[in-house]
Amino acid sequence: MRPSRWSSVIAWWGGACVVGLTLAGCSGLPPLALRPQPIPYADTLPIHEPANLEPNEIMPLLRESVVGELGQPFDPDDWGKKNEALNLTHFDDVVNSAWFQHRIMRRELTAEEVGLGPTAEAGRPKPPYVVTELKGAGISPGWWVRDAKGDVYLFKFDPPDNLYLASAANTISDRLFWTAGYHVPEDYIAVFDTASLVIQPEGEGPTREEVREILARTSPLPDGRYRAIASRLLPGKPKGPFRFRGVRKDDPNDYYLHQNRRELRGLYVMAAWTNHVDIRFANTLDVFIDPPGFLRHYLQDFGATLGSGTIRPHDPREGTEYNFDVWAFLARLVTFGFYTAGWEGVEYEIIDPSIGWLPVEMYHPGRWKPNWPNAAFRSVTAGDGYWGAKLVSALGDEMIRAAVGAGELPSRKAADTLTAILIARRDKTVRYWFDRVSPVENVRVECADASGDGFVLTFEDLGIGSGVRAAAGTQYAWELEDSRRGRHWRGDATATIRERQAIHVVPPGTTDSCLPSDAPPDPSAGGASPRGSPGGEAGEGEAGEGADVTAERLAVLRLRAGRLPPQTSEPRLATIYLLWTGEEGGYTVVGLEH
Amino acid sequence: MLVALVLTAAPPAAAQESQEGGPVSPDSADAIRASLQRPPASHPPDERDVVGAPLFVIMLPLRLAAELLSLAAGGVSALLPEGEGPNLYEVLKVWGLELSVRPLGPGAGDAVQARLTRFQPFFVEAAASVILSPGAFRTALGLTNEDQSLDGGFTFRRLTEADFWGVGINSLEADKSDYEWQRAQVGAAGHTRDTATFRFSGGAGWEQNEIREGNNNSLPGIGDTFPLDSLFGAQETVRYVVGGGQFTADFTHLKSLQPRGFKFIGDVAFHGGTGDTDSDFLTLQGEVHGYLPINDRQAFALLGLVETQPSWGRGVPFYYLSQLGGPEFLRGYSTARFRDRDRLTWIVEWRYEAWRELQGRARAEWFVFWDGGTVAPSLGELSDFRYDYGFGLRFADQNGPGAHFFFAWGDEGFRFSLRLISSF
Repeated sequence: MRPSRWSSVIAWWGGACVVGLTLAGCSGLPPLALRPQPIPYADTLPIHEPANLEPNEIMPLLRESVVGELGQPFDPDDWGKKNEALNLTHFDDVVNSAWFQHRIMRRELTAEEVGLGPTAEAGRPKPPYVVTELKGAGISPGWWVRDAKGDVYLFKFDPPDNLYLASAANTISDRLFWTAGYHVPEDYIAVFDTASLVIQPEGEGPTREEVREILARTSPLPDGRYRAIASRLLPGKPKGPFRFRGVRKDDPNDYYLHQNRRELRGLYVMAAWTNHVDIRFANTLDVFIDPPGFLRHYLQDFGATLGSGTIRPHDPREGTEYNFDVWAFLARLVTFGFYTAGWEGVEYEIIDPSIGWLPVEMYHPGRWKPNWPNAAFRSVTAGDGYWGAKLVSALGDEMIRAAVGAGELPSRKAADTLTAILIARRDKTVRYWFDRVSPVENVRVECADASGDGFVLTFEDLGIGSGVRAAAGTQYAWELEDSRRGRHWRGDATATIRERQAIHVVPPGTTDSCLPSDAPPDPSAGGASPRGSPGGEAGEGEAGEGADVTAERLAVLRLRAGRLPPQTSEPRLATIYLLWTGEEGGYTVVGLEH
Repeated sequence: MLVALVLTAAPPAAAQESQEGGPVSPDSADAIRASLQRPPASHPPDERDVVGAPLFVIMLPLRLAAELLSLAAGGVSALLPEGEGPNLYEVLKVWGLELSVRPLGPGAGDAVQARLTRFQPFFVEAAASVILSPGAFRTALGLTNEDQSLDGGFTFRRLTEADFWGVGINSLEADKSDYEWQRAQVGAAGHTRDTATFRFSGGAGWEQNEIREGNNNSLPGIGDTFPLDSLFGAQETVRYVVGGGQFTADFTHLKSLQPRGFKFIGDVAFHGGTGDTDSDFLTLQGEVHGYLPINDRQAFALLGLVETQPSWGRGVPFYYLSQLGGPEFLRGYSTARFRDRDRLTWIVEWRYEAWRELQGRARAEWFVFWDGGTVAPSLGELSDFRYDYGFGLRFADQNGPGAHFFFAWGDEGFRFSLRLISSF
């Protein structure tokens, strides 16, 4: 019988696949625990001073909006969101770098620290202010000033009908992103009267008329003074924005493709929570820190966050549809305009002129969209989202209240309202992403039996610890895979109300009477940080450090946290990498992947 | 050893010493970077890349199209206000030079116009179209203020491959032939500004028209297909004094950048033969536009047009006969596919918003349309209507509808058109 046309095609591709796999080596990535780990601050080595890039933003935005969006269904890398971030430690975290500095993930910050964020009292702008230059790009009015200390600030103003709106949002988000670990500028609220402005002689700076024109685009406070967000000039030389795709070619420190960086993928969760719809490369900045001479990567301009659209309150479309959303564009084409997105039927009511519009009900942590798509956000996996949600969940109520306090809103009621909204959005965010994985952290082997007949694995369940899930409805299913020692065990366990959960990993049909301690983890032995990852950096204080981690000695325990009521989608397994240390003590935890 | 230099959680400045204890230079740092054992910078190939190869090829045309679109948009954004990078538009504006796009008459396409207003109220302007037409340009000098303008200028238009199928709605597609039309005009015109509900413009001038062999070697010339004796204007140079005016009653307004309301336009033009040209004719045209919104995003748009050409002497030169077909009327047919002295045509469009810029400064709308129309020797003989349909996309800003493109289908096939301006 002659083969059909389709069987020929399939046979041809089968052959091609074999050839392709052979040529490509097609081994994929080794397990997380067997990979080298990223090295802290490796991207702060000296480089030659790069050029100051001022790229036209339209081209990459359109490329991402059209090719990026339409190409996704044709990109196997995106099928099933399989491609994980690459700059991961063995415990599914990132190291400190020119991109990210662990803050709340490493220690409990005080509310006061969160309220201050990157700022310090000494850095607060001091009048008089010499107006040196008009603000260039961007839609909010403003100018650059030099204060009495000689420091340079960018003053930006609120829209006339919404005083406090952008300045408060900017300051609050500045604190939240700093707390999470991102590099951000020092943003202050500045209140001044026009007498404190110094206009330079003609030709040396903006004229009095130009300064007045800018002030005419805002409104004075009731006492006649003006309020502005004062963003202190970043230390170092600005070198243009960074992109969310590829690497910067003139920065040899820029190693990982940006879309594969966990910090940039996880940033999606922070951006969604704070409604940072204007996150695009124009609102980022690479700064050359010299000495020693490296690029630090900043997020800046948070004026269009929370309920603020910078020059007006946000509207319901923002956060739910891209500025140019090619799918909605096509949907309207084929339905003759009768397709309506969810936001189009939303009752739109400003919460408060100083807050703008920040939804809770219609906010969806996984479907939130910035105004422009980018490659890093498009690549977000459940693991990336979980990592970002850990940052968000670490911000407690009092910390949020302190950050909101930095915005100096006009009334206690407005501050309380915004705090309540942020808390509600935080809980929604955390629940959504924590439900997509099995959120176990600080895993330890206890009661290890050198004979290898069983052990107790203890861990924290952040789903329960963060309060988004109850112990009563949580069940763990686990499976141990250790081919070398012929162990293929599985079992399940019920969560308890204790801080640390425990599962007895024993051969089928046996029981283990070992009772694990309830003591907090010992940081010196792969200890815990507030949000789960081992303290310190990769290679430092990590369980199993110094041990020879090879595939032969590696066992894997997969664990699923099932909930009642059940998660909306099947949660990912947590993969716990166990190193067989032999007669000395059985297994030790050397890696964790979500 | 080198690796150990950066295997530290210390602040960056402390990680910058070489193994000799001295500072690390950018060049010596390269060796350190090369020695670091790190996770891969990108995902290694796997079976998905094998599957992805043909998909990449499938997507290649889209990628290329988007790249071109991005490049074009990037280039335009460098010209427009508020673009980043060098802004040619702003630089030119400081010098009193304004760039715009305007039509230069039927068949001449959209021309780029530069107007120098540095010495107001006087202005100098020049427009040229070479992309969509073999050549058309216009120069003018004028006076302008807030509400009125008066200009005098010279226009030359040379269409080297104008098509002709004969006269009448039943002219045959197979009779397609071509000719070259050269027209030189001098004249003066006055305009009221576009801010009022009622606007008037009028002008007068002199022109000379000549017809030659067309440049399209794949088509027969008009003399090969039609007896030239039957086509007034085909063999002789024709000169006219021209006078005319246009009256517009505009009851439309923009709401959320969507036109609403009605507009009436009346046109009259008189061509009086001079010298040995024994021909006088009037062109009378009435046009009505209606924009009927369903909501902020959806609307019906209607257009109706009637035109008649009473004449004396040898009548109307064939190139001045009323035309149907092309990017404005009866869009599923070639430009000037049908010609006769009188015409009746209409457009029905369903317009619906596809995109709106977040700040509400621009929008794009899809439109599906149905056109109909006919030409005849007189209004009483209008019959045998032709129809087409299609869809397109139109951009609009606070100045109203602008650049658009469409795909149209008529009895004789499919047509695509891209234009930078829109009058409807």
